Amino acid sequence: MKKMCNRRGMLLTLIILCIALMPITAHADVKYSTFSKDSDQNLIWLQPAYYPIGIIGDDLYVPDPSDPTVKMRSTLNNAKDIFIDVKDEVYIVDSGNNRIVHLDANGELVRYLSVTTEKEGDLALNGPEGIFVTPEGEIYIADTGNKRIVKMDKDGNVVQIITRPQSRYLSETYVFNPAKLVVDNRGYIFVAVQGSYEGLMLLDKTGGFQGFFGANKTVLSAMDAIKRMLYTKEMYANEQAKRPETITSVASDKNGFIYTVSGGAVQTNQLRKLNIKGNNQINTGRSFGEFRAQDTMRISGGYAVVPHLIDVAVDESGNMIVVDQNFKYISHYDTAGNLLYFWGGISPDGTSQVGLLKSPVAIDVNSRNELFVLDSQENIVQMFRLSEFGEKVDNANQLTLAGYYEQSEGPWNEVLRLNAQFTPAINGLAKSAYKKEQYEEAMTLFKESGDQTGFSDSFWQIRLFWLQKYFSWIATVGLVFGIGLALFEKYTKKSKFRSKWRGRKRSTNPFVLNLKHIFYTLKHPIDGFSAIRYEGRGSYGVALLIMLFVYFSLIFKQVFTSFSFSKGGFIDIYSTFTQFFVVWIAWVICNYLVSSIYRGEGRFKDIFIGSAYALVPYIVVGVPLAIISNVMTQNDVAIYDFLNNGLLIWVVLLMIWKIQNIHNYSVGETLMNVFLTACTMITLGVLIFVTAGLTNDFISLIVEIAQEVIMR
Amino acid sequence: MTWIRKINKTGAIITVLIIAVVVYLAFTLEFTFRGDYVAKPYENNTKRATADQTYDLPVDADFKQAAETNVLRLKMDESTGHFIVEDKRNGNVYRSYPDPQDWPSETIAGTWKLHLMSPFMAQYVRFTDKILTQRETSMATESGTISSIEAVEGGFKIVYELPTTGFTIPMQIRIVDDYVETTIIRDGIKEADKDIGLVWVRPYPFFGAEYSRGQDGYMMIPDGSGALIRFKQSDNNITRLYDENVYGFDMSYAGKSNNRNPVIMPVFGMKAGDKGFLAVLHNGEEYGGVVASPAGVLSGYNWITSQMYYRSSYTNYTSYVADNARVEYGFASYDQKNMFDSDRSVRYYLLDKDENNYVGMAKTYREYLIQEKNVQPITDVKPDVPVDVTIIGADREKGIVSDRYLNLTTTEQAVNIVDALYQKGLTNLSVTYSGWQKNGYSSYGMTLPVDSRIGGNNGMKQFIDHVQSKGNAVYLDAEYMLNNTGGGGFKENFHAMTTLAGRMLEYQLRYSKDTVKFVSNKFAHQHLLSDLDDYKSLGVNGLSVNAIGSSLFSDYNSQFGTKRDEARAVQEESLKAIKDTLGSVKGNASNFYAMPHVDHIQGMVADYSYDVFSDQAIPFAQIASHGLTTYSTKYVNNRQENRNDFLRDIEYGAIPSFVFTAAETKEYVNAYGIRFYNTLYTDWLETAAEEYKRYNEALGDVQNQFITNHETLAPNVKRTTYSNGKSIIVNYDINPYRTGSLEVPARDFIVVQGGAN
Repeated sequence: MKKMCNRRGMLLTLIILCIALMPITAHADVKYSTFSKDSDQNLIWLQPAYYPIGIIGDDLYVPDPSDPTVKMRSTLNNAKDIFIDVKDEVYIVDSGNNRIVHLDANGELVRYLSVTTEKEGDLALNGPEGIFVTPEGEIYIADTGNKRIVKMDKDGNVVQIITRPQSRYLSETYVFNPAKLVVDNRGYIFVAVQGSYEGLMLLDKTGGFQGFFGANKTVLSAMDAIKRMLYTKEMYANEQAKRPETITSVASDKNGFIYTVSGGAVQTNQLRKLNIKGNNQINTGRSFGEFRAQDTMRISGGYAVVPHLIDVAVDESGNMIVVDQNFKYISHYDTAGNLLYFWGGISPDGTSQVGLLKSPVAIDVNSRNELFVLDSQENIVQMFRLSEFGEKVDNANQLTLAGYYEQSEGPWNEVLRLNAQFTPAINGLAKSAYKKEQYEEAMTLFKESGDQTGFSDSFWQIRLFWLQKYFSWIATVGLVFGIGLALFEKYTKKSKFRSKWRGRKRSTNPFVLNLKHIFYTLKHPIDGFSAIRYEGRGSYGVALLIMLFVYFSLIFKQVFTSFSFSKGGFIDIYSTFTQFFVVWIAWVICNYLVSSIYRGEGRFKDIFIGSAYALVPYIVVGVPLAIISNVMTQNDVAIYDFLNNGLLIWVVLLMIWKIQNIHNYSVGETLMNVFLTACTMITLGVLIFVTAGLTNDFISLIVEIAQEVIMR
Repeated sequence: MTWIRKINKTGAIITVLIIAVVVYLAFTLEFTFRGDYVAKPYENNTKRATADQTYDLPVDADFKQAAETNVLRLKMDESTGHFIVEDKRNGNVYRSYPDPQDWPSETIAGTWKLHLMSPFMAQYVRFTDKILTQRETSMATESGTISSIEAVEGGFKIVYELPTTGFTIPMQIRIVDDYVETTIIRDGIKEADKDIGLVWVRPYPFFGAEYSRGQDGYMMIPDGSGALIRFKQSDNNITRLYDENVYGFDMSYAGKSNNRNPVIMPVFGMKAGDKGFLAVLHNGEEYGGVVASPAGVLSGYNWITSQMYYRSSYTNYTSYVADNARVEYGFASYDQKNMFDSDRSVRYYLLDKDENNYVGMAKTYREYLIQEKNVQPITDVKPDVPVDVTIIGADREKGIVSDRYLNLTTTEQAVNIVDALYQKGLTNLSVTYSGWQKNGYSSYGMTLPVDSRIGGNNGMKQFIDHVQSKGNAVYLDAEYMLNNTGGGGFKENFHAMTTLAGRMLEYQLRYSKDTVKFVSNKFAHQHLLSDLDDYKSLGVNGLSVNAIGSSLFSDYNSQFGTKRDEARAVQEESLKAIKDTLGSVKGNASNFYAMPHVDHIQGMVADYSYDVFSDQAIPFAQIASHGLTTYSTKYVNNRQENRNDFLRDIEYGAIPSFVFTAAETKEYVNAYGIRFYNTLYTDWLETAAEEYKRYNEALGDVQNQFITNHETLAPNVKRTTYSNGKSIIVNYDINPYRTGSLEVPARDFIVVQGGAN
């Protein structure tokens, strides 16, 4: 069955591909797309931020051992890591060939590095996976297969071999499989050890164990939490131990920050920027490694896939670049961890094209901010250079990050001229406007860029100015009005027109009475709902009218609530209607079904009317709240939430009173009734789903046959 | 009914189940009896071949002269069916089999070595297979025979027979002037076994094949505007193989699809040292493809060939779940009864010494277009280069209640845009108005009248008059091959393109879940003809078409269907009709069969597909077409890399193009049909003015000139030379380039006015 599913997945993919690739407008240029995301995670199409400048590592030759004058092709084999030193020279860890390929800045071969085995006891490299070259030219190789680190001088002579350190802090079972490493300017080595959940291993110059550094947090699922709560100690001990995820790769920058990436189960903070104490500087709780929603479909045929970050590099401006092995995207984040752009993608079967990746394993950046991507399946290194657009974005962003908002305005405007939808640019301009105290403009721009906090802050300023300007007026008017009202109250208490007003002729129109009953119910819910059942109050007409207004107020709330509290987005009046009305009618029907066999006294009409009356708070609180939200800022979020939640609680309470009084239940019976109604609703939902599915199939069968008959 | 109760219930159920299983098996399983078993011929044959055959190439002495022209001499070998062509101008010898001097070093084993020796390769499928597998065969693998050879004028006709698969394949080899033409004669193709179907034939796939032994050589593939695969040593990696269909992917045969640029010209070529040829797929190229295999991929030879399809796989659907869910799945099938029609000829133009490079190939192709396809050179030109300006009228987006109309540029605003451009000195405009039809851009198939919200027919008329009063032209963008509006009386059940499996071909709207049906070419043609008078009365200078001329699909619609080759003819008719009635027509990313009809090609590809095996992108298409038609690449304001793309336009001789709206770009971020980076015209006036000056400087006086040379002076430095002697040196590098007294600034170009030569 599983296989079958997969097969379907594949064919599905094929069909999707065929449609997606319709070449009606042939877009030339690079074969990968570049994207960014706005604050709502909507994709923004960008011009390429990086453009390809070449391929290196695909024409390596070695002398033929039998005839040294003849050169033999010697392609990379299962290469694992790439490192670019301060002189922009390139080192590739050619793991399958047990050697290091050293190329110059132009990609020409300089030499092959390996460990000679002439002396007895010397072991040749065995599946090395990582390399680091210090500014002085010392070469550190993570010789993974031999469980050691080899240090060479700049001529390639082995000067030190570091094996598993001996320490009482290191458990006996600890296996030292060094995979990736960096060396700081003190000569301390940070080693990412395969399968080590303790974090990076920190070794001193002599190879002595100094401790662990920057372990990931353990990821606990909700299920784990429940198990922890319910299981006995013995049972819990039998569970598979929950360990932090291991670190896949590590990098460093010139300021001494250590960057790590992790794959596997980690779904947030996969990329970390650690200071010397091991604290994460970009602990935003977000997920790193971008992809498009539709990519999950293409990769897995519908199964959820999360990014698996395999390597990280830091460019000259401090931007972080990560590469993801699942979606094959290269994502760029600024120093604060904000997404700049992501690009790349999966190379289609049967072709190898520059910019599309098969199995990316490592990336690095040289001093000219040129990006090198090592692909272990293609066994080549692709080189990219920051494009004009990418450069402009980078420049402007550096200014914004440094707080030079005004200076960033020009560059951001230029970025916007090239791409009017690049949200970070709009946000940059908004910040500049805010800095220049042009709050009105800042507000518009923040809204456009989807920055609720910025919007709210700007509005706060505007409100403050307004209040400062008009406070005396407001205070005076308020005072005069208050005193006036009090005086009016006092002096007209016994006047004729007031008694006349009180004794005015009340309407006897049942519709008007039923309308008035709404407010009576709000004030006296118990009596009000009883009256619906036993005094014939309320009518279908009024109930429908209420429902109509509730629907309108739902829409009203979506449209008019301040941007500080609601992002808005696309207002779908149809799905709002179906969601709201279908749930409501299902509730009414199920409640009627349950109550009619569960000692309920209410008739269908009563339940229908009562359920409508109970929703009135949506109108009387929801609409004013939406209006008031426009004069509130995020500082007043407590008030907003209080009213918003109060509204919900009120509706729930009204519903409960409705059930209790319409059916004449005790409290226990009421709760039972609610529970049963909920169960019935679920059953009803499943039934409808199944029936609809089957009917659909049946109808499409008939249609197909009919078409077949007609068309042929 | 008492007997029922007597029966043992368990027993009864088991009995019924067993019977059911037996019945089921009897109907589904295939039983094989010893007598039925026949050894698979493919393997059987391979064994015999390896035992008998000593992998020998034909011997030169066996070849006898078959024909001679002023330039060429054709010889053939009756025993192997191979031929040799000698170029009398320079003594070059071209063989229809791999170069014998490299043969001793060939290490590829078994079947592939036999393929190398064969005059053709073929692929076939066995319809009795449960899962169809494509198998390759060739003359030598099957020890094929030659049943007849007959002399014809300029050459001979030969009939090959494959004993195992039962194919009979007749070919004709002819030399005319400086080319040799191979033709697979469709009438004579026979399939003896109805269960074995021919898929494709590669005629003389190793024509001119050579090893990479340090000679200056490359294969020219029609990828994008053209690309070179230099002779080198490659890995044995199948992803290094170039294999593409001419005129792009056929949606009716959705099988092979990737993101390579579609092949717009049916050509390929090879230069190997002193030798070189350009091959043009002259006839039946709609069903052709080009395959190039660099040395090391499949054998040590660099070989490039045409691949002629007689069947293609299409997807047959087995289940249909729900229309909106799109969870149907299918399997690959081939049409067992019918093969594709048409003779397939390939002309190998042999290049003389001084023409032996990609420029020579492109010139040869230009000559071919003029002579064989009757393409007329550009005659009247204005001193300034034309600017191709596209104005977008409107589109729709999802609205709260129903679709919302996005009014982007009214005809009055369009007048402002044009005036603003005039003021900036862009005086030679060629305006294309798109999204003018009712409901805008993504309302495909809707034609006149112009939507009243952007000004209606009257507004458009005024706009046209305004532009024409300045001596410029207005084209209306019209898409006749897509329809989602019912315009022109389109009903998808009757007029949409259909696959062999009875599926309608559809185009996924880029930014909406809706799909649009493709319109059968013949219906589109009728629809177009019925509209032409209205366009004429509106006074437009012509139409700008999109899919016509660029999207070529097989269509099995029972009433309006056209096969791929017929579809091409219908599209050409449509283009001709527009040109004859209105005076002019613009194509969009057009294939070269549109060349005789179109006056301008928008969005002509100017790049390659970034395949790892390609070493260099070349302006083959541009060299062939400059002076025959104008072309533009990407919109200036929608470029990926502003400076690079500008320089490439200059190098490739492309005129500038823009896409403008009067509304801000953010107005249409959710539109169904369009996405651009920034189209607000006021943002671009300065850039337009600046760049236009440079375009004029470079291209103003060579608009009707042919490109006579194109070279790489240094890495990232290119020179393009025109027939009036003017040359342009473009430097893409971040450093200035100096040569002699000339200095080209970094990322810039200079113009060198030529002498009398």
